Amino acid sequence: MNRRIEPAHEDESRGQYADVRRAYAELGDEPVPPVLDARVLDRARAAVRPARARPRWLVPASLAASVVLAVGVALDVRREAHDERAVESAVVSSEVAAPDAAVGAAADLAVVDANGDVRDADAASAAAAAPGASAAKQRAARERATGNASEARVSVPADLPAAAAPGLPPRPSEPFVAAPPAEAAAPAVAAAPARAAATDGAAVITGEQSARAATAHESAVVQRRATPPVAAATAPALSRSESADAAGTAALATPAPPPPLAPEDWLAKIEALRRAGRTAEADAELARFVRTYPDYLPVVAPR
Amino acid sequence: MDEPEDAELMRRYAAGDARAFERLYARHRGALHRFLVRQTRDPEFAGDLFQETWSKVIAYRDRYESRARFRTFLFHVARNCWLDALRARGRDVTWAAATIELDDAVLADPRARGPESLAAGAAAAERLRLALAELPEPQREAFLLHEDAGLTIDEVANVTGVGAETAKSRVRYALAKLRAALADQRDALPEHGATA
Repeated sequence: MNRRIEPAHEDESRGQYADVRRAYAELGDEPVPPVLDARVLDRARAAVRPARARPRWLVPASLAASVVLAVGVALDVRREAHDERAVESAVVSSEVAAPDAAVGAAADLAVVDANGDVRDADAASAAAAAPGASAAKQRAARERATGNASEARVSVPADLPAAAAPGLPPRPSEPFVAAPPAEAAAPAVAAAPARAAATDGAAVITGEQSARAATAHESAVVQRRATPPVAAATAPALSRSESADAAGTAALATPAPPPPLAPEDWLAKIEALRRAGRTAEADAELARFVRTYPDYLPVVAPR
Repeated sequence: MDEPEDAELMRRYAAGDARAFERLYARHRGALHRFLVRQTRDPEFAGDLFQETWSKVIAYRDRYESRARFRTFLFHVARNCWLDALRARGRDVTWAAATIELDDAVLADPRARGPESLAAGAAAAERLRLALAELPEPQREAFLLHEDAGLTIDEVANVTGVGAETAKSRVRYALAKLRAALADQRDALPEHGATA
């Protein structure tokens, strides 16, 4: 027994009730249930336990995560803005070229400079870009622009000086003659593959390729605007000016629109042109036909 | 001298030292629990009061002043918890503040108080336990506080809210009744042995 047996001093009857006290001491104990001990001690500890501090690494980790997130968003927004500018630039270039395109047949020639800006295939502009260009070339270019040219390829050096490189407003004295009547009508969007090719040096894109690329570009732009940034990052065409190769490949990989004429009809048209004496046009059409249907084998009727 | 030590432990606990409380608790837990069990005669009820008492001690840690012994403060809190619980149960607790009336009959003749209820031949401790349970609550309370918890008559008076003389009388009456119960047992043993 751990109990105090001796009574207080005031009890004058200490000796008188010694037997009672002895008997009471033998009464035994009333042990405290362990669960009570646990509850009381838990409560006592909880009452003086300091508020649990946050782990020390939590704040720096949160800051780091925030910074990473902010930088990621900023980079993405910047990339988006860059892409938007690239597209707008291409559109502006094509719009500038559009009035000239009304002239006609030169639509099948698009020249892209090394900086990625679209220009007309116009020889005049090429001549302007290249100081040493001859007047004959200028004349030829004008002829093509008026529909007399059958096919022309003008290469622009990739290292063309920026001053001569256009993506800039057209010079009044040198009207761009490009573009596309109906079938090739999207010189603006042709900028994408054109730019891609331009990065390799010089590039020449025919009207049909431009048309194909135009369609590809349109679909790419629409897709890019309709898809989230991550998807847009992998989308083809103009989304990355710096990845021109990929863009061009993607644009060309896009299924081309059906040719305006079936092979047989097209050949018949060419034959009609020859019969009409329009040999140059017939040759041009034939060249386009060959490019369009390189594997075409005419059906020869057995004799 | 454990008085300053208890007060010091309480101050340290109020300052946030949980170990000080553990020492304080270990020192007083047995006496408090025994008091509550024997006073209420209901171990479950006593357990609830035990927790409530210590909870109030914990809550009062900042306001505790060592003007009295910690044990006096502890049993005061425990008694208040007990009376509040009795009131909540609709029990009459007017006796708690009333001066006890001397039971002359019991004092005069210990056997007059139903010796049949105390089984003949039972051990002295068991008889004493039964006799303790049959004590009037004020006497049992005074007895337990004085004889078991070790409070002085003045401290018992302080805790129970009565004068020192009243407290002293309650303790004496309790002792007398318990002795009568033991005497009854002693008287019963020969009879029991004779019959055997």
